[in-house]
This record gives sequence, C-alpha cells and structure tokens, in this order.
Amino acid sequence: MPSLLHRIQYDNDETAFQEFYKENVFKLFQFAFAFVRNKELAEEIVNDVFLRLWQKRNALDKIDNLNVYLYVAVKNTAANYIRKDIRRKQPEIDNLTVSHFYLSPDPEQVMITDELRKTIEHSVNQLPPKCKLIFKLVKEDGLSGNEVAAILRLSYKTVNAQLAIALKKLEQDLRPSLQEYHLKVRRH
Amino acid sequence: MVSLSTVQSMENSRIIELMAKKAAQGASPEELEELARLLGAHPSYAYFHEVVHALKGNQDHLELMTPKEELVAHGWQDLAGKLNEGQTGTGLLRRLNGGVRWVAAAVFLVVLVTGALLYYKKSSAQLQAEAPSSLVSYAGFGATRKLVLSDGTKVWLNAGSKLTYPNVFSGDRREVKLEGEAYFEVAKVSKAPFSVHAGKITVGVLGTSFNLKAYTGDKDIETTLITGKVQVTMDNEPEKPILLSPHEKLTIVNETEGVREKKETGTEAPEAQKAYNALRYQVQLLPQSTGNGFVETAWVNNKLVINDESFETVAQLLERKYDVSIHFGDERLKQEHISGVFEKESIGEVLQILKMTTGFKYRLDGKAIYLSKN
Repeated sequence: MPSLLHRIQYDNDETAFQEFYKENVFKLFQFAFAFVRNKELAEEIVNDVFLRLWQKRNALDKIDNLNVYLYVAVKNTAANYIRKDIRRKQPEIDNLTVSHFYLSPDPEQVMITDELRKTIEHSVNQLPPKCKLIFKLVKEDGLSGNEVAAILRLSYKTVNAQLAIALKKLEQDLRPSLQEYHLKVRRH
Repeated sequence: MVSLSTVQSMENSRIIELMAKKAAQGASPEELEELARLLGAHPSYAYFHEVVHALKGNQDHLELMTPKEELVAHGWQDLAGKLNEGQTGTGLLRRLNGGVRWVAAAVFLVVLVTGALLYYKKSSAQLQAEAPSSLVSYAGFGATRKLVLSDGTKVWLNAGSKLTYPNVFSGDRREVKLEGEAYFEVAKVSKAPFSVHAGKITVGVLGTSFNLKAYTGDKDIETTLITGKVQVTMDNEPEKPILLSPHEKLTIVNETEGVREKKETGTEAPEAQKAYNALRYQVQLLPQSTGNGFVETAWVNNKLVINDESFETVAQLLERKYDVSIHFGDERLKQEHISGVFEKESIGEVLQILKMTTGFKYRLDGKAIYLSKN
C-alpha cells in the first residue's frame, strides 16, 4: 500500500487526502484558534491551508517537513486575518489565547487520583501563554523542539528554556501531592 | 564544602533540564542515561516524570463545547466541495446553522467596550419596537449612577452615559442599549441571554457581570473581559463572533479608519486584503493585576487610572469625569503621553499634578480649560 502522501500526489486520491486531513486538521485548528479565537474563522484558515496544499499536491514531495509547513502556513494565514497594524508581520505569540488547551494525564498510562489530575490541569492552565503553547505543541502535537522553534520563529534554546519553565512550575505545584502519593506507595 | 541541600537542588534542576531536552526530542543518549540515573536516585521525580510522560491533550475542544470528531467532520464537509472547484462560497452559510453554543459555566465577567462612532439608529429603532415600555437612564457629565433592572441586574453608569432598557424584561431575551460606559452585574437567568448593543457591536452573556464603554467619538471599541466568558459580535458581521477568555481585551478599529488604511495598503494580496478589511481587531492579554484591579474597571471605584495614554485621550476622560471642556492651544500637546492615578483630586489638582511631568500651562475659565505649551 503506497503512503497517503504518495496516493495524494500521484493518484489524485481524494480519499487519501481526506484521511490526511482527518489526521492533521484538529491540532491545526487549535493552533489557528489560538490566534483568531473564532471558530468559523479558524476553520476557514485551516481549510484555506489544506485547499492550497491540495492544489499543489503535485509538488508535495518538495516540501521538506510537511508538519512544520502546515503550522507555519496556518500561522501566516491567521496573521493576515488578525493583523491590526499591517506593517507588523509577526503575530505576538505572547498574546495568544491558549486557555482552550487542556493537558491531563492519560489514565491508561498512569495511575492517578482524581485530585491529582485536577491539580495537574490547574497547574498547566496557569502557565504563561507562550510557555503553555510550546508545552502543548511538544506534549500533545508531538513536535520536536527544533520544529516548534521553526514554527514560532524562536531559537531552539528559548524553546528548551520555556519547556524547563513549564516543567519546573508543574513540579513545584505537584510536589505536595506527589510526595503524598510516594508515601502511600511505600506504605503498601 | 558544598552542602547536601545544594547538591540536591542542583540535581533537581538538572533533572528538569534533562526532562525538557527529552520532551523536545533533543536529548543525547548520554543525557538520557544521566536522566535515568538521576530519576533512580530521586523517586518522587521518577513519578513526576511518569506523569509528564502520560500528559495528553483533551480531544474535546472545551472552549467551544464541540467534540473533535464534530469539528473534523464539519471542516471536511466544507473543504470537500471546494477541492474540485465549482461550489465555492457555500461553506460559511452552511456553518452558520450550527448556531452559537453558550458556555453556561460563566460566573462573573467584566467587559469594557471603549468608544466608537455610533451608527445604530436602526438598531435603536428595532429596540423601541420590541420594547415599547423602554426606559432611559442618563448619568450626566461629572456623575455616575447605579441602577437595578427588573431582572435584578445591577448597572453602574459612568459619566456622560445613557442606558436604554425595558421597564420589565419579557420573553427569552434580555436586551439593553448603551451609549457611553457602564459596568454590569448581570443576574443569572437560564435560557435568557443578556445582550448589550453598543455602537456597531453587541456583547452577549448568559448571566454574569461586565462593563461596557462606548462613547461617541473614540477611535477604538474595546472589550475587556475580567472573568467568565463573553462573546462579541460586530453588527455588520453577525456570523463571526469573537470569543474572549478572562483577562483579555479586544480592540476593534473604527470602520472609517479602515477605509483610509485600505487605500494606503493597496499592495496587499487580495484575499488577505479582504479579510483584513472585514475584521480589523486584535486581542491582547491584560497585564497581571497588581491588586488594585484593572485599569479598565477602575472607574467603578471612582478612580481615574491613566496608563501611558495620549493627552488627547486623557482630555476626553477628564471632560467626562469633571464635566469640563478642554481646549488645546497647541496641537503638539495632544501627542504627549501621560500616566497617573487620580481618585479624590479636583480638576485643578489633577492639572497641577500633570503639569509636573508634562510641560504645559493652563487657564481655567468656568468649565472651560485652555491648554498651551510652556
């Protein structure tokens, strides 16, 4: 079975494109929403990006890192929509809304009390916007530090530093609960 | 001699650093080994590491109350028609049928809408027709006023503001109209959304509190949300509501300015230009509150908070608060930037204080103030 991208590029396979869309659209939608905070507009932006991708499917294999390409295209398209000052090209990522990113531990991977889960969600939610966005892109979207740096036009060092800030904050907030948990485990 | 606790905290920082590298997929095999060794020596971090590893996003888009599957299916439905051209432009209309989903969890929210040229003769007429027994309350210059509406909603009207509202709210809608600025504490009535029409925008909430400012003649319309959830709709684009989260400020640029900008920026790509003209807004996060509350709501406590505003803007604030008229003898003064907090000062005292940081002279003549350069 040829890969999805191969089927899209060489067979004009719409079903393959649909599959590709379904795999990728949600995270891009969340990303777009962070910029425009409007559901319809976020959908329009993301679909715009996918439509352009479909239109140049013949050159799909020329795209170096398709994942990064999609995030950057969404960011640039969103920037065109929201730019108040048309001369300022780069949207301010410090101002993004990221309150709709919720990260919580997967119950299938780790045993966790309801209380601890709430503490984690609260702690992640309190992170500064830029920090939370980077943490989300790495943890949820599975992007590497280098990819996040390319997408947000930050240095790799900055991305790493922001991740460390997020982890440190999380560790501090969770310390009391984790120690308690640790004691319980040892008692058993 | 390095103490044990210093070693501990150094190791803890190292663990965090290595975990960050690992998460960013940038850790070398040696670093991964080092991390494993450190985690072995620090069991509480081992569990923390496990928890972080298991973190994943919630697939329900909570902010929008729409599950992932629904969003994806909806998006594809829209895109599929466009892939082979022909049927463009129908997507938006179809999407509108979904309607607006309100977030019922909103408890308290404060919204501010600042200024704008007000073109709502039409909506005013509609409001009159729907609510024949409407009342008008007015707070004159130099005064604020507090009202309680029939549903228990409390409204503080700022100086020079006017609120039009029905004698008694009826049916499943609560609608009022504001010119100027007001702080609302909306009584929670389920299934009866509360809307405030102000200029060319409408702010909608479902039971909660907010503050709205829409004076005639200001450059921007600003909506600031302190807590809760609010939806702002521009009357000419009801299909594109903007959702605000707590501590966010929405600034909508006045339309007439947009037309002027358009001419200046004719080089922009056509599709971007179109979008740009349709929606000229920006959402900013408010700076962390310092315990004195937010600049945007300070007036409710009779405070005048000025944070790096132009003298021209400040003059408008002073005119409303003190019921005076301010005349600039020198245009350059308008561009001077001013900061300060005033509470009980008289207008004379305010001017004295401003004089200390900004070079100008003033002359008081009854209710008129004349400013000139030093």
